[in-house]
Amino acid sequence: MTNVLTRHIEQRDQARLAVALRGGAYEGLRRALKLSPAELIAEVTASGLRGRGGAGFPTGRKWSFIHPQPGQPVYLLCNADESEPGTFKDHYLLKHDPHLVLEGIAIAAHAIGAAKAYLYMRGEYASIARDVQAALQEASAAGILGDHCLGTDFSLQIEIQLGAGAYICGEETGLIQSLEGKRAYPRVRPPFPAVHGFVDQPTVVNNVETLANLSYILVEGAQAFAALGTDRSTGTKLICISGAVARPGVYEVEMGYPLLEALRREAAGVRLGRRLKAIIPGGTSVPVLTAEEAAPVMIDYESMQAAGTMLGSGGMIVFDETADMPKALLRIAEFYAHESCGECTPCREGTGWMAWVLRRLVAGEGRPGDLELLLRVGGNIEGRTICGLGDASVQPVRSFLQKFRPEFEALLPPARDAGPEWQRHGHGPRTARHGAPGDEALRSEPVDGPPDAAL
Amino acid sequence: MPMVTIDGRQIEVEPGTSIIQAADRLGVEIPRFCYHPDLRPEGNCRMCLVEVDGFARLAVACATPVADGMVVRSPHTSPQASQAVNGVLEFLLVNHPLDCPICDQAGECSLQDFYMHPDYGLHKSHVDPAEKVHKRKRIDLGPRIVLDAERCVMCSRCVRFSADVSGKAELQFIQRGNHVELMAFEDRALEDPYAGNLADVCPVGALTSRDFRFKRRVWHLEHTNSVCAGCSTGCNVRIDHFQNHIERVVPRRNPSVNSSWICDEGRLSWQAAQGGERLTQPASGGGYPPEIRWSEAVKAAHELLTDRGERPLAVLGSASATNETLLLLRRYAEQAHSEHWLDFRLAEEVQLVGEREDQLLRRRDKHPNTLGAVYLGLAGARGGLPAMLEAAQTGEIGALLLVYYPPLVGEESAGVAEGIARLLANVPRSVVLTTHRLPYLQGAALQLPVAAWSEEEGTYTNFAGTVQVVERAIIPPGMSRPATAVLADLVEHQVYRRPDADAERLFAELARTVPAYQGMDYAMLDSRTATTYPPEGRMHYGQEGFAGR
Amino acid sequence: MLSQQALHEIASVQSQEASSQHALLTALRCMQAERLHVGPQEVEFLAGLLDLSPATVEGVARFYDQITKEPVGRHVLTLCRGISCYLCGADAVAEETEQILDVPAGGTTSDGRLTLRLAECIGDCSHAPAALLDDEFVGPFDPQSLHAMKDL
Repeated sequence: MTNVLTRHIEQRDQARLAVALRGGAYEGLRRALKLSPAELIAEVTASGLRGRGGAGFPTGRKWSFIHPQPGQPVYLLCNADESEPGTFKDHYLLKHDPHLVLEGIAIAAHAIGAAKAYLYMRGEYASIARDVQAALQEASAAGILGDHCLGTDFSLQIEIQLGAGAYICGEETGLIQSLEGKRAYPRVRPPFPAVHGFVDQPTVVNNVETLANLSYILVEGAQAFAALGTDRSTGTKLICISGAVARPGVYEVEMGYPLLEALRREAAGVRLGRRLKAIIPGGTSVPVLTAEEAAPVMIDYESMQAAGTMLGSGGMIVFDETADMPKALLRIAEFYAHESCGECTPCREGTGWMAWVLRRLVAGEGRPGDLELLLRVGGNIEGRTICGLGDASVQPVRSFLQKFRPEFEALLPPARDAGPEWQRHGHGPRTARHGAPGDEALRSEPVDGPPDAAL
Repeated sequence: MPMVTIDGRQIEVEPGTSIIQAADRLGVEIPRFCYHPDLRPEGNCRMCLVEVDGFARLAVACATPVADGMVVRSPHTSPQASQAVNGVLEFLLVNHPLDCPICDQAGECSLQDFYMHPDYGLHKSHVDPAEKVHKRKRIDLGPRIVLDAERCVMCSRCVRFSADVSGKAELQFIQRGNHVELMAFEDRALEDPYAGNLADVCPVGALTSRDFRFKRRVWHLEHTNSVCAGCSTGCNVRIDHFQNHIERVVPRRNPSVNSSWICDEGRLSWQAAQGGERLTQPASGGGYPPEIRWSEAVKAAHELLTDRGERPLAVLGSASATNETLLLLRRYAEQAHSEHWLDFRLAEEVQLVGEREDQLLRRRDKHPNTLGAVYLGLAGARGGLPAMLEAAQTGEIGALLLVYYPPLVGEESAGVAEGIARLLANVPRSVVLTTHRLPYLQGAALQLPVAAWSEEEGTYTNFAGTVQVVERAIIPPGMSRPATAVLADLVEHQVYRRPDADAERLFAELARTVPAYQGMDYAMLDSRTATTYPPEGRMHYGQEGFAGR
Repeated sequence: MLSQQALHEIASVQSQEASSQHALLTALRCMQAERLHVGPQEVEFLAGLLDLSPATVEGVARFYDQITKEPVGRHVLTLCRGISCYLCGADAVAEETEQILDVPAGGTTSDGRLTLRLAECIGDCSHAPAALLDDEFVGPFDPQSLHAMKDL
């Protein structure tokens, strides 16, 4: 298999410039700087490279939206806020081959005409940021980055900004807000960052892995890159395999590689010889696949979509046969409730509400209709929020409930229970725990019960 | 220009207009919390979701610009939008305390109104009250505002007002998710001189006015449109009153004058008009003549002002009087052949009239009608109060007619108060039309009680020359009458025919005789055309007051 | 209130194009690192330093998990409770850690040495159960290793 991103990752001291240069680092930048921005964008467009942050938007096309007014500054923001549960590929790239990422940043900056780029890393990556900073200084001192990159007219200042613990900073407008020193409340679009981004100027936000592909594309050519993978999902993908596997880690596979093959060959299969129960293939924000569903799936955008899920960030979370799916879903729901920024109503209230309902279900205090309530709350979030976090929070809830429904139904009280007392008798806090045997009050007919009381 | 169809009705709007703005112009009510016509849109509440043909998802009307040919369906006609808005309302009530019975916002609460709306409101709660997230309540944020974080819908109108309009940035959210909570740093008292607007922009009971809290349920209030008389800006206001008592004053939206705002001093200036010791019956020599009738008082005044030998009558008006009062005052001076002794300046009004006190609304001239007095030619050649005082001291003046209103914002300057007192002391034959019993007016031979601001109808001309109508909200106390009525009586004594004292007819005369008002029509000035935000139960905005000059 | 080095770092991230608020995140991080929390006094200091209102600074400070209102210990042990770590026994690890340290999650040892925090996914899932000791990844975390860390 051809390695695009991990060719030198095992190389000892690859973070040191001299070592990286021996492996051909910054050769892609050298070639990129010989191209005009338009030629460079055309080359990357021809490679078919799509954004690796989760959405899979064509990178060349994203760059082509930048049309600054004369004299207007343009910014490139490299998104290293990597916070999608089960995702740690950017961590891996930045730690082991920072020059590959820095080179990608410089190539992209040249393409869009940015003189300044920010590498926004999540606060938890502070120790990695120190190493990246050292690499950046080394490359700048060597005249590769900074003023007159590689002796050309192109100058680029790269600054590293550390976050301080908030998932929403990985959302591109949330990242911009955070970089501006604000609460990372995502912005309503339009206007899009390409027009009004960082400090209101044209801005491109690209994921670390996306940018790390650029060196290869420039050195080997767009055609060589496009030859990898499938027709519409070109190149390779870093997959992060974690959870119930024998050898968790980051692996590079060519797009179109069979999902379970990757699990078996790269991650050495499910741990302790257990059977696979389910796999979330792209971070918790995408629908889960059962073992059966996962069998025919390939690691590429289209195959994932055909299976009703998404490639997402490539964070593959593996559940073995012992996994308690309601508990796992509660853990995921609590993540979204904790990380919802609280700006827009459906996500702020809905994520917390879903976590509440799941918590009582798992605690054995579920109520009739709770599963329908979860789906209804999810439906009221989906498609109605400012950013994608709302939609993301619904995917695991809906797919877990759909695919592992018996496990959730087992947590519900017997059907004769008419629902919580406060709902049947009007106002006031609930005093009795429903479902308690022998509680006569709970057996009475609902006075004004909710429509779902009969369920 | 783009043509957009909303609920089957078409309107042509300027490029860049948002769907909600177009709908407002059409009179299609789109529910909203975070949208406010004078704040930058943020799109966070998701209440204004509408269906747009060709869009995969529902769009927020507040942040979606119209495009030509766009077809929009609001929750009134789109089941999809209606269901979505219903869902948003359900979310907003998940952690809401539902304490409407003890909430002062009840009756003018958007959350309440929207919940009750048949097209998208009403649902059965699926939330156990014991599960709600609780937040802090009854936090005093200084003399104007009380915060109840639990009732907040996080629409951020107040945050944006504080950061972008008044610039103080004293309010912000803390935490994330459903723990997001509005706060002022360390619960400090707000220093914002415009803090009162925070209660106005709050669509729910999270920020309430400390001055108004628990005084009156809003559905008992009567509303009268008026213009603030606290300074020369002339902010449009609505006076809310009950049984002839003012309960509060709130700003009325007028984009060309005050947007949707008013300063706290102006908001509370009604207390100065209504407070203090009002002059409720004619008074002579500092005492009250027992049971004097108005006809006798006017006759006495006329005699005082007429029996002055060959010496002239000095007439000193006020930049706090309406244009109509000043017109009759001028007529009286002319009939007394004293038009050269007519003035209104007590101090530096004319120099200060346009000068800003801050970057938002307040101006340093604390009179509402300085420019009106100037347009009427009341700035005589003699130089206002100081010159009249000089003339009085040399015995040049035979009698004095003074119309005086104490300032509604701040105190009268010591210099002016002393100047008036000395003027009255030096002119034995003096008649003062005023609202309050004030120590520096006690030297007048006769004081006649007149209506204060909010008690009479008329017009003011603000610093920019915009003519605006004030309507009468309440009846003046005791025997006091509008100054126009008293002056009309006095003119009747001069010419044996009573001139019209009706504001509309007096203004018609102004429009005929004063160049600055040429062609203006009282009906077009009608303050009722300027609009209120937030509206009471209805939503209608956009029209502007008639800008004169 | 801040070291010269921190003040220098904050000044260095200020740029002509962006308002002073751009430096706030860096400033909050510096403050947290040096004063171990960002309380009211720290907020006021930063507000003065960056010409922002205290409410603005407070609002941003209280948005981020790593900025705390109450002081943390000299070291912070962050245990991941993300889904991958959950699948690798993070709950039990957290429980055992609480017992060994004798503090509940979110608490600080009585000697002020260590604060124990639980975090959502910290991005080191291949070393589940992942953990951070201050800035360093120390997963897979074995609570028993705490006994060897007594001299931190």
